[in-house]
Amino acid sequence: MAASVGEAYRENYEGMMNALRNERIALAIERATASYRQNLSKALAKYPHTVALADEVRKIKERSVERLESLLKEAMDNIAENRGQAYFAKTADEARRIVGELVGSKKSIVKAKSLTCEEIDLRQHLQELGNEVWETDLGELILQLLDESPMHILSPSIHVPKEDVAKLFSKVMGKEVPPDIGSEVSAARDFLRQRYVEADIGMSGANIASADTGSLFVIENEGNARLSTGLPPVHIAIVGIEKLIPTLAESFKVAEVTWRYSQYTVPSYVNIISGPSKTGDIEKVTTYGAHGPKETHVVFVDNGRNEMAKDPVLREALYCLRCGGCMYECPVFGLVGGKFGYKYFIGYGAAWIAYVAGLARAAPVAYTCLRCGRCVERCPVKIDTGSIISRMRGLLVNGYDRFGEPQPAE
Amino acid sequence: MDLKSPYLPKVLPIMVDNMRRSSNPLGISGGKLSSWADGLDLANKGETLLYTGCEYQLIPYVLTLVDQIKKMGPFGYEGGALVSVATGLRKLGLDAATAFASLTAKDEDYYNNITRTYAKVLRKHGVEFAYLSEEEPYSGALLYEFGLMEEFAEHANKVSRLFKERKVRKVIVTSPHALEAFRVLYPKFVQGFDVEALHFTEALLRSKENVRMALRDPLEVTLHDPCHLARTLDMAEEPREILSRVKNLTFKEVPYSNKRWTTCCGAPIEILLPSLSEPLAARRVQELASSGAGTALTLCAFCLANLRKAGSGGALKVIDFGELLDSALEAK
Repeated sequence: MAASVGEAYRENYEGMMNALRNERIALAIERATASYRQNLSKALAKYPHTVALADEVRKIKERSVERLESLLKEAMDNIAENRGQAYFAKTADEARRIVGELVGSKKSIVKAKSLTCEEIDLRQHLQELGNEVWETDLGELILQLLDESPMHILSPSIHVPKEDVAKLFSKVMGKEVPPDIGSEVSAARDFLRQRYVEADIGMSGANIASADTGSLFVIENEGNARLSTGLPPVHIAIVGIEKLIPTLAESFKVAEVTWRYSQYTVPSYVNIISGPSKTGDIEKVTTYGAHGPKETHVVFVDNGRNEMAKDPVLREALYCLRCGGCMYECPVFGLVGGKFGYKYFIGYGAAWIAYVAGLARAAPVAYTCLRCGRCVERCPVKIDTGSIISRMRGLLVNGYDRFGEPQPAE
Repeated sequence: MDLKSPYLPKVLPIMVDNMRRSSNPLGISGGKLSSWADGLDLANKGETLLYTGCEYQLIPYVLTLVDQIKKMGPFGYEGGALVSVATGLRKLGLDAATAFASLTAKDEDYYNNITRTYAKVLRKHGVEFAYLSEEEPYSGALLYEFGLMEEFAEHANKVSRLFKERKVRKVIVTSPHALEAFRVLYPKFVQGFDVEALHFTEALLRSKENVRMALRDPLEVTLHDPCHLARTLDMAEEPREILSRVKNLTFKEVPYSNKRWTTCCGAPIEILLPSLSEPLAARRVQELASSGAGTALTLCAFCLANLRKAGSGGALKVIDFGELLDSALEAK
């Protein structure tokens, strides 16, 4: 998995150049950008308090990242108290092992979108163990069927036009799906419906984890996360520890800023999950597994985040809410999409890549960033990409040894 | 220090070598970079300096260099030609005359003249300044940009010592990168750095003289805000204020991507990734053209060069802010 520096530079470059040659990518992002800016500006006009709330959220994130370890303990204790099971994975390997043991093999899994699962290649791992895994987010499903990696954190298949979706769905679903978005959405719905019912396990990430109640927030519009986390008998959530927020009250603030800067006045669904489904309706005896899952497992993933939190500059990257707004403002992203990155995208993503995938993968991203700063203008929590890139480049020049043995150069 | 890190793009150590040899990243002699001032009789001593950072003057060399770097592959990183081209590039610092043989006189004249226009406009406005001529050092901004912090600190201290020796109190700067270096970075890297740095536009707006500026023919212009000027230094209004004083000029704003929302021209990765830098510039030229103006102005040597290259042959003319003001002074 670890690439040499030369390979990492070459793969990154070739990915960007291939994307550059595919003019549809730039066109699709251009359209998405125009509509993002318009929707956001409408949403902010309707809820003008969001800007000040975003400043407050930055402070909440600063305070949370200061004390990840104590928040983690508090959250794990509360999840246990709620009759859920909480786990802590120090590394990606450990996270895969924990989930692998929970899942076993020959299971059918429906999965909502999760960047953290992408980070640790969880779907591939579970498939290798002999399980069937279905991505249920429409964009992720398209990519799964195409065997491609996401191009944007919120709109992963931003670069695939409806004609291509129709061809793909017709082939996979064994019936003619016309190149019309309404028909495509309904085809995906029909295709997945039975899979939710039959699934042994539902999986998801989380946008926020409230330490004081052990609650997970999953923000969505499609309703796929609601079904994935609600219908199967077992729910497994994979949560990066940077998602920890001290209180439920603060979590609502973080949630509102997250969806607002994702261009929504309000999303269709905010799922708040604090433990397994239960009822006390018969003789007041609490019984688990009523209509929802009988088991709730929460796997907290470190995979470099605690180390990142120790760096005075790079820790900023942990404040990211994953609203995706910055990407629409990045000129390089506008041309090559998610190929400007490796699992995590655009300039500030270089810090994430360094810790979760190693310095070799981070280097080409750090040296591709223009340091133009427009992403910072957009960012609700003002993640300072300019300083992150300077710091990353400084570490690449000098101090790279703190990331472990350098891979041989070519 | 050594630059043995395996993670670095290969062109960086070459630039550092050049900086050591001749105080600018391409290793060009100070005499060549100051020839633009010939015949202007600028003082070379004074408390206030015009500081060009050698940037416009270096552009013709950068353009030639980028063509050679393209042969090295992405980030100067791979390709069989790496060693030979790298060796060749190392020689640039020692033997610029041969290495830059393909340099066109036309480019050299054009970019030299831009620095000249800035000096002329300041003079017309009664601003007094001296120029360090062949001793003027590069600011070192590129070293900081690429993460070469120790080299930047060393260079910044060298520049600061020179300013002190020459009793410089104030510099009028024509480059956003140099201005950012003096205002934001030097105070962090040089103990007690107290030279006041003004942008050219600020110096002009502070001048007391009421100079008539008018274009001979009506012209519609738009502005490409350089990222570091408009965002880092928060200086988007100054150039617009000056343009509003130019008669016969109609200003047209680029939709959306103006001022703090300006789009980068792609120049920061011109040396590392020319194949990505070029389409970025082409996109920005399209955005600028969507203003409806036929002429786009900018105030940064690197923006200018990158946008001109992308705009050549197209309908949009890209020129420098200094050029425009100079022509507004000459017209009667």
